[in-house]
Amino acid sequence: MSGQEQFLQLSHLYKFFDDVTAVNDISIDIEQGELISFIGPSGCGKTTLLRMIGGFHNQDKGSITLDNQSIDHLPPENRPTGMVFQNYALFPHMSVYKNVEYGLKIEKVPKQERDSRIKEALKQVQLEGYENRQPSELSGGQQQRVAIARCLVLKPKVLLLDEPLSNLDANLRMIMREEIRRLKDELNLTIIFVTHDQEEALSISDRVIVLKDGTAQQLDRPDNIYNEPSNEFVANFVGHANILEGKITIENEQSNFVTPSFQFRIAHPNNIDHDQQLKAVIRPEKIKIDPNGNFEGIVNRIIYNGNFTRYFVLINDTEIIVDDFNAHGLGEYKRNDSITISFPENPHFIHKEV
Amino acid sequence: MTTETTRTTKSKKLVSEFRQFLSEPWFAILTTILAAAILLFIVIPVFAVFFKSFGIGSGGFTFEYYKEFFARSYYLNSLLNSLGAAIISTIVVVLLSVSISLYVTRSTSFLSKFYRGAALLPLVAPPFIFSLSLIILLGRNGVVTSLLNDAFGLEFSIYGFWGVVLAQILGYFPIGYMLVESTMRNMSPSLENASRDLGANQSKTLRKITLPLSQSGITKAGLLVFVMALADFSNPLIIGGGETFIAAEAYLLVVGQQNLEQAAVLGVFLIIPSLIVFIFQTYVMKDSGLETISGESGASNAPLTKRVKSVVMTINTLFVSFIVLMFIMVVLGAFVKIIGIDNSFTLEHFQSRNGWDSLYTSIIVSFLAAILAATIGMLQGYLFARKPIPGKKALEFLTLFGLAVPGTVMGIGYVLIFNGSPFFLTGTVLLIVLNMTFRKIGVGLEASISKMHQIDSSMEEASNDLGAGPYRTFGKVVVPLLSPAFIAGFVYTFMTAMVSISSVIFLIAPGTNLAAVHILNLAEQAQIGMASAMSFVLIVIVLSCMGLLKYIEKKTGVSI
Ligand SMILES: Nc1ncnc2c1ncn2[C@@H]1O[C@H](COP(=O)(O)OP(=O)(O)OP(=O)(O)O)[C@@H](O)[C@H]1O
Ligand SMILES: [Mg+2]
Repeated sequence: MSGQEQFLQLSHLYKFFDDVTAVNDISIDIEQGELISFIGPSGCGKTTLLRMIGGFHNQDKGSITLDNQSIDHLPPENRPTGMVFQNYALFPHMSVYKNVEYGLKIEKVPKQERDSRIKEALKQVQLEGYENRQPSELSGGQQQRVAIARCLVLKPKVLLLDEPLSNLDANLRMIMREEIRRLKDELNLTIIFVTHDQEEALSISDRVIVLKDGTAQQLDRPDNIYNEPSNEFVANFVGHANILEGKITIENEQSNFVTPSFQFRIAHPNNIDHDQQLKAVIRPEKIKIDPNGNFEGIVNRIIYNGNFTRYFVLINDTEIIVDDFNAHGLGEYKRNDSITISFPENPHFIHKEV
Repeated sequence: MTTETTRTTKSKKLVSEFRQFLSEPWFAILTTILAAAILLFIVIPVFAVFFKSFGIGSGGFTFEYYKEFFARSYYLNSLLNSLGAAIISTIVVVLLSVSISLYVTRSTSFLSKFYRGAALLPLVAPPFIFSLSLIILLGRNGVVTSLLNDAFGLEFSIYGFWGVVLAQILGYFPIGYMLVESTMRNMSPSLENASRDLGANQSKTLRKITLPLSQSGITKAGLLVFVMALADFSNPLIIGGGETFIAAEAYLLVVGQQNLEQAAVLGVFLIIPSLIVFIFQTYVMKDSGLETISGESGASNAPLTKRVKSVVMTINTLFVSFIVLMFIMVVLGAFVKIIGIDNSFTLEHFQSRNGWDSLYTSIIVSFLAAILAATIGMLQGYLFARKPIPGKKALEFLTLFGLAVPGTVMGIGYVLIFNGSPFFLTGTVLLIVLNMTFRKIGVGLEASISKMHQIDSSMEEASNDLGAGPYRTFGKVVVPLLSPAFIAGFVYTFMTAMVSISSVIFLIAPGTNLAAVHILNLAEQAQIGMASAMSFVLIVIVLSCMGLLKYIEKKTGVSI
C-alpha cells in the first residue's frame, strides 16, 4: 500500500481556534470506495476535520489531495465533496424535487438530464413519489434521505456525513445504517462518517479513526480497534475494558502476567519484552465464568442488560468486569455470591504511557 | 344541526369560563378595569377621530371634509409626499439593513460590533434628531453648504422632500435593522453551508437561500418602517421646507386652525395603512413556517467572501459613518456658539430655564408612564396567560393595536375625547402620562406573556399545593418571576416616552412643556444651538438608562 497514491489524502492537517488546537497533525489515506468513521468524545475535532475536507474551514497547516489533485485552495462550492449536515439543512422553501435539483441547476445541467438524474437519486434513497412534498412534510428519516439524495445527484467523489443518524430513533438508526452501507456498495462511494456512537462506527465502517483533543489515537479496522486498542484511551472509549497493570514473568517456560494483587497464566507473547511495566486490556466478555476457573471472587455489583449480565467481581480488592451472555434467561449469580472465573490466555498488551 | 351543537358547546364553554372568571373576584375586577381602560384610552379615541372625520359630534354626518380633502391639491399633495417619502425610505432602510446584517451576523470582529452599535444609535435620540443635524450640516447656513457656496458659488439646502427622506432613513433605520438582523441570526448556518456544498458560490447562495429565507423578517421590517415613516410628523415640520406632509399637516390643522374635522380626515388616511399592516402582521405573517431546526454543533455562517465583503463593507462603512457624523454634529452644535459661523466653545446653550423645566417634566412624566405601563403590562400578561378571560383575544389585539396607531391620530383622538366634559383633562400631566402609558403597554404585555410561557404553570400549582391562595401565589411567585418583563417594559416605555412627541404635542399646555416638544420648537425656530444642547442632554439621559439596564442584566444574570 505504501508509496501508492491514495484516493483521498489528508496529510499533517492542523486547525487552531484561538487557544484550542482543534485538529492536531492528522494524516489519513483513504481508498476509493472506503467508509471511514471519525469517532471521539465531544469536542475532539471530528466536525472540524470533516468541515476542513468539505472546505468550510481552511486548514492552518497541511494539505488535502483528492484523486491526485490538491483541493486546498478550493472553496466549498468547487470541491467535489458532498456534505450531509446533522440537521439535514434541507431548504425549507423548496420542495423535495427542488432541493435535489438545486445543485444541478447551478451546474447548468439541461432540464431533461436533470429530471432523470433526480429520479435516479430519489430512487437510490427509496423516495420515489415524494417529489412534491415540502421538507416540513417529511419524517426525520425521509429528510435524511433527501439530504443524501441531494448530494448523490451531483456524483460527489466523497460523501461527508456529520452525525447523520443522531436525530433518529434507535430503530430508524439501524435501518439508515444498512441503507448507507448499501448505497456505498452499490455506487462504490467513498464515505467519511462522523459519529460519537462507537457501536455505530464499528458496525458501519471499513476503518475507524479514534480522535482525542484533535490528535489521532488509532486508525484501524473495527475489529482491530476493538481487540487491539493502541492505548488506554481507545480501550476505554470503544467498548468496556478491564485494564490491569503489571508485567510478564517467565518461569519454567511458562509465562505469567503479574499484577499487584494476583497473577494469571498467559500464552507467551511474541514481541513483548518481559519484566517491563505493561497494561493488559481484557474485554469483559473474554473472561469466562468457569467452575474450574482459577480465580475466586465475590460479586460486588450486577447490571442486567437484557442479552447479557455485567458482573463486577472483586478479586483481592481489584474489581474485574465480567460479561456473561444470558443464554438461559436471567443471570445466575447474586450480590455477594462467590464466583470462579478464568482469564483469557492472550490478552492485548499496551505499553504504559509516560 | 352540527352548527347548532357547536354553538351550544361553545356557549357552554363560555358559561364555564365566566364562572371560573368570577371565582377569583379580585382578578375579575382587575380585568374589567383593565378592559375599560383599554377601551377608553386606546379604542375610543381612534373611533372618535373616525367619527369626527364625518362631522359626527359637530354638525352632523357629512362627506364634506373628505370632499375638501380631494378638492385641494394641497391635502392630496401632503398624502402623496408622505407616501413617496415613506416608500423611498423603506426601500433604502431595508437594503441597508440587509447589508449591515450580512456583515454583523457573520463576524465577531470589532468592526462588526461598531456597525451594530452605530446602527442602533438612533434609538437613543428623539426621532427628529437627524433633521437637526442635517440642517447643521446642509441647511441654508450649514457647514457643508457654506463651504460649497464659498468654493463654487453653489446655492443649495437640504430643506424639502429629500431632506425628509434622508432624515427618515436615518431615524427609522434601527427598527428595520433589528428585525432583519434577528431573522438572519436565527437562520441555521448549515443551510448556507449546504448551498455552498452543492456548488453555489456565496452571492448565489445569498440570492437563492439567504434572502428568500429572510423574506418574512424583511417584509415585517419594511412594513413597520413604512408605517412609521408615513406617520412621521416631526421631520417634515423641521426640514420639510415648503413641502407638506400628512401628519404634520394634521397637526397644523388642529393647532393653527382648530379645524379638527379636517384633521380627522387626514388622521383616517394615516390610520388606514397602519391598520392594514397591523392586521396583516397579526394574522397573515404570524407563522411563516420556515423556522429551522437549531442545536447543531460547530456550525457558524461562513465569513463573507472578498467580493461580497467589499461591496457590503463599503456600503456599511459609508452609512454608519454618516450616522456617527450626524451625532457628532449635534454634539458640536451644542457646544459651540453658532456652528459654522462662530465655532468658539460655549456652554450658553445649556443655560435655558425653559429647557431644564421641560426636561424635568419629561422625566417625571416618562417615569410615571413607565411604572404604569410596566405594571399594567405585567398584570395583564399574567392574567392573559393563565386565567380564563372572556374576550381575551380581542383585548390582546386592542392592546397591541395601541402600538400601531400613529401618534398623531392618538393625539387628535385624545383632544376630541378628553378636552371637554366629562373629563376636562387637556393640559394636565395626568393625560400626558395616560397617553404615553397606553400607547406603549403592548410592549410590556408581549414581554410578560412570552415570559409567562417560559414559566411552567406547575410552579404556581406547587405554590397552591403548599397552601398559598391565588393572590398570594401571584405576589410571591409570579411577580418575582415576571420582574425581568417588568423591567423591560419599564425601560422601554421610559426611553420611548422621553423622546416621544407626535401624540403628546397635542396635549401639552404652557406649564407642562416636554423636552422633545421644546426641542422641536427650538429647531423650528432655527435655534440650532439650544436644540442641539437639549438633544444632547436627552441622549445622555437615555444612554445612561440603557447602561443601567445592561448593568442590571450583568448583576442579576437575568437577560431582559
Ligand atoms: N468556529 C469555532 N471557533 C472556535 N472554536 C471552535 C470553532 N469550532 C470548533 N471549535 C472548537 O474546536 C474543538 C473541536 O470542535 P468540533 O466541533 O470539531 O468537535 P466535535 O468532535 O465535532 O464535537 P461534537 O461531538 O460535540 O460534535 C472544540 O474545542 C470546539 O470548541
Ligand atoms: Mg461535531
